[in-house]
Amino acid sequence: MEPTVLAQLIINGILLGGVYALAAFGLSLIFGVSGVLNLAHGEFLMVSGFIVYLLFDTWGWNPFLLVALVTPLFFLIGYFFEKGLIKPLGFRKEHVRLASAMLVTLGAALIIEDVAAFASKDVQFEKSIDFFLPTWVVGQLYFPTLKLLVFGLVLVLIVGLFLFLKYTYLGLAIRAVTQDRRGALLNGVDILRVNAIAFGIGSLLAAAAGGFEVIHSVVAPNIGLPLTMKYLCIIVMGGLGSFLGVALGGVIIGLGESFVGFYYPAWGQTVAYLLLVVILLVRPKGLFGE
Amino acid sequence: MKPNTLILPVLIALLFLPLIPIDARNYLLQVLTFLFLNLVLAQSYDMVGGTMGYINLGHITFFGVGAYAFGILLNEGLPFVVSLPLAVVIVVIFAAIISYPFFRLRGAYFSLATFGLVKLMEYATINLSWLTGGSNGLKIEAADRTLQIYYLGLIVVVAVILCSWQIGRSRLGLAMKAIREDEGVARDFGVPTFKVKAQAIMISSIFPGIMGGLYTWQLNFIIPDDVFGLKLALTPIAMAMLGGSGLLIGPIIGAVFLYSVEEVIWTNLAHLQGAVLGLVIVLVGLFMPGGLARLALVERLLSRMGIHEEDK
Amino acid sequence: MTAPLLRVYGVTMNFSGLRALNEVSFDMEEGAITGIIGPNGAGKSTLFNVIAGNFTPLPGKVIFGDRDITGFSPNMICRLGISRTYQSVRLFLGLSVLNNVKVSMLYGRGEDEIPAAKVEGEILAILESVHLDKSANKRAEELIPLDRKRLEIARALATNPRLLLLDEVVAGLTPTETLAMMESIQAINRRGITVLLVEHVMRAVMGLSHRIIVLHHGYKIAEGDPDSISKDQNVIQAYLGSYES
Repeated sequence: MEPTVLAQLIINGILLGGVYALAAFGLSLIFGVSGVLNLAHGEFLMVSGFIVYLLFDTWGWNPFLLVALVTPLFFLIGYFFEKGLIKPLGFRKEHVRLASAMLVTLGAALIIEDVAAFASKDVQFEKSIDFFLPTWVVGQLYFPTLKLLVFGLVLVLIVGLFLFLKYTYLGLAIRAVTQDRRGALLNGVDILRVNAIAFGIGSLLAAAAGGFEVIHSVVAPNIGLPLTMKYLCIIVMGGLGSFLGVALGGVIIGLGESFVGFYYPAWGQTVAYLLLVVILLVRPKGLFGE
Repeated sequence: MKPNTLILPVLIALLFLPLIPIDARNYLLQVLTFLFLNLVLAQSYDMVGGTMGYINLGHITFFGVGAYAFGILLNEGLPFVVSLPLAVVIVVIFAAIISYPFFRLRGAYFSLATFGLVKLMEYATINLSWLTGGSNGLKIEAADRTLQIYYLGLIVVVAVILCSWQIGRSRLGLAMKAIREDEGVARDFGVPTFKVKAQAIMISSIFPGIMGGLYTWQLNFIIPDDVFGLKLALTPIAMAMLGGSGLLIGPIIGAVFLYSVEEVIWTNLAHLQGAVLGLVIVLVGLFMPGGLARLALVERLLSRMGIHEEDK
Repeated sequence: MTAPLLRVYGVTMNFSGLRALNEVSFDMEEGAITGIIGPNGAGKSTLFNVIAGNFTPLPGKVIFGDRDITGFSPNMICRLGISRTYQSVRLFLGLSVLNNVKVSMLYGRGEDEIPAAKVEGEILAILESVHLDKSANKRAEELIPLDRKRLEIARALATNPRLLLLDEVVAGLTPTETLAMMESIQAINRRGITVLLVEHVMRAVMGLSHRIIVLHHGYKIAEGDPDSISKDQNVIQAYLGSYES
């Protein structure tokens, strides 16, 4: 393979992986703190992209500005989603709680998806084509500027998340709950509030990813569940609870899809699942899982 | 479970239904056949999901593999009486093969991996188009076989319920329940957990395998989205949980209830079917993870009909 | 003198640099009740789990009868005739009392299977021996703590073991319940079953054991009958050193 083609595939893979990782971090955060696999995560992404698109279509504002406006809303949406649907499950036995949470979030995902499909019957989902930046060309490599900008913002958010977790009091509380729920409780951490906040932050990240998706790619009503599955693949692959694992997982899948999509386009979407199954067979706890 | 007063009348009614000369007879039979399909899927899912506690979100793959295997064999010239059993054999082998890797996982990991399997099979079916016809679908010789399929479906329903009942009373069933309660301890006390899990999933694959073949036989034409679709994958599981996972009567109650609700919705609000399914699932998750059959009210009703169950 | 039923030989266990057991060796006679005691962190649980098959000593050997069972899985060890209870009482909570016992009876017996017709009778006999026969059809999760421990013992007995391993079986019981449990254990022992118990509750160990092994920091520091152990200077030091009086 020519080096330029190789390099291009790698670049595309990393850019793709970055956006995956952003949403996957959100899901990982939610799981780490509340122990819940939020199967509606992808729906938040989709709805956020939908809203950004609608606002762009109606007001014509700069899409990045719109993302900045819409995304914080989803903190609240995630926060109240947790309070309304997840908190009531709190006192059940561990595996019953997990199964119930999966059911509840899965049901919510189906509802959201169906309603979105119904509501968008007359509207076409498409990229905000109005936002066009010239491709940055270095030698024989093409850097899609829009995607680069998005990747840059994704990195900013990921670094921001990392710093938040490491240096703020709330971040500390979150990390404590992730590691040892009872210990954190005994040390005075308000678990209920932390659960809801983690859900809020996680959903915020998904929303950001959704906003970015609609800017440089496409958002459609039915992408929710497949994307959620993909994020689940990433966080399970990377090992639940591992920050590095998620980042690595995202990049691996991004690269995988990039390469497979080049050689065998038809199998592109299977990459995430294949990698998940293969990795779980070799290391049932994931790459970095404890 | 004591035999109760309802079984015989229902069975007789179902047996003689096709004899009623009404215009909508075929439609009615097809509606019931589809109910049979959901019921069989729900009941067979619950063998592994309810009795053994492993939520196999990929249960539908047995149905899909059965459907395609049957169609392919039939097109190769093998008669129905050979194609269908052979397709089931293929399904069971498929179940045996996947049990090796997948049963190394537990809990949520297992469920996620099996969920991924559905998508994987769907893509595999689309991409192996030389074998399966890909996204263009698989066609078999067309004919209207509604009546035969209705009766065959009814037989499978009876078979799966009997099989489920027998498992519940058997040594294997006890091992499965022990695995559900505490797999490590079960293993410590001599249960060959791996063998038991493999046997359970292989048995549970027989019935969706048969229904898959019958599905192709009925529709004459199948596409990957039909047999590996998300809705068909999740609905039987929702039915089992809604009705009461782990109980013999649970999937039956869940299937009849949810199917009726869906039929009503379909005729009135066709486009919101997914939302209705979603709503049911949310309600089950929030309010009754034990299912309808475990509600005090329903339990009383059932015991008056002579249905008691232990070891839920 | 007959060969000992169980021989633990030079057992050492390392966990990432932490030495939980240091060349622990002792023998158990068939028909005896042997107690293992020691301050917290002495290695009692680890030793228990080595014998039960959850850990493989490195180095070290565990010989049962005339068979080297070092490194055998718990599953195998159960079928060879060693049964156990759990410190954190792990019952099949959703199953009936009867079925809890049935699982081990049907699967844990190894060579000597019971004909199907006799199973239920055998189970009721065992339940009767631990005073649970009236609760046979109750769900395990409905039992009070004492009965749960009894059920664990019943489950262990159903495999027809030659050796019964009891892990802190009187923990959390009231004094009256402790006495009742001690009587049950003695009755079991009188029927010919060798018992090894790991215990914190002194009264129970002293009252039950024919022989006691004392561990401290992973070493065996004393071995003997209850009387001489209670007077042993090393033992007293070890406990005084760890506990405030």
